[in-house]
Amino acid sequence: MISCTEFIPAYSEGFKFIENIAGRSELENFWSELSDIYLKDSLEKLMSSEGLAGAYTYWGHALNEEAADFTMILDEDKGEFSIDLHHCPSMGMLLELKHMTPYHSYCDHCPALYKPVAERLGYIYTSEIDCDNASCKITIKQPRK
Amino acid sequence: MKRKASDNKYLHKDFHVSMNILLKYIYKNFGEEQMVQYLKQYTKAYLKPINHKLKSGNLGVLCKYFKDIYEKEEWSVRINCTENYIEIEQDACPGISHIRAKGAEPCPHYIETYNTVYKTLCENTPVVYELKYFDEETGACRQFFKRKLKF
Repeated sequence: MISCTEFIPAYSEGFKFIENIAGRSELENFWSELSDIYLKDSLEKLMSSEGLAGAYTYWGHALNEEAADFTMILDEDKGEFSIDLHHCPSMGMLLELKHMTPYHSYCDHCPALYKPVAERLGYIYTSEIDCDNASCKITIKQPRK
Repeated sequence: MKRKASDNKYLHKDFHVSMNILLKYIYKNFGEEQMVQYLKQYTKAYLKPINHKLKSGNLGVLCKYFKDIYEKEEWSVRINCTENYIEIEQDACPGISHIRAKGAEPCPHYIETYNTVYKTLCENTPVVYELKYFDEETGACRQFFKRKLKF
């Protein structure tokens, strides 16, 4: 059994494995497929029906279950949703595991998963990632009219 | 919303769904053998400290590991630890149960997340792994880790 609490190292090794046998473009294909399958009925559905409030609902659930250290702001007047992930539990776990090396670009999978969903719905997705310190800031904005 | 890591318990069951998508991707694009190779790579990397401790033949390290992961997973299981063997019996697999609850099908050969992972974990140790029974539908199973007999 691979427990859900052991998923992050399994995920990181999966990225290495796919890249090693078929290259970075194959890994990006996997991220794209994962985004389509995994986020279609969750983030995409919520944002389609609730807009930025749907993003708040999605990440409010996921980040609490992942025991993340974060500040999340939904400013509907401004048309902006942001997450300040002070400590990413996933990258944080990988950095703590001294006996294994994380996939060299582990944090790349986040924009690869979420950006296409936001952009398909007409939003502007930006992120600033500090992978070495397991932190990032994600902003999703409504386009200016 | 502002949260600290200590405000919540780390338990995101949807990771089982992501894991299943990863396994299916490898299986679909590269085949069963590569899926098994991936599981071996993961086990050798992540469970290396347990494999290392197991070389002494002390099953205590495994007993602690399994009690810990099932407790974190909040999953009902019967674990019987003795000096010479460990028996683990479950009525369903937490991964398969969550994947099915979310409307997905477990990856073909999902059994390898047990069989390959734990056989690899026991490599180069005096411990052998046997999966006595595994129900593909539910993941109900009976597993044994036992010390090799000395002659």
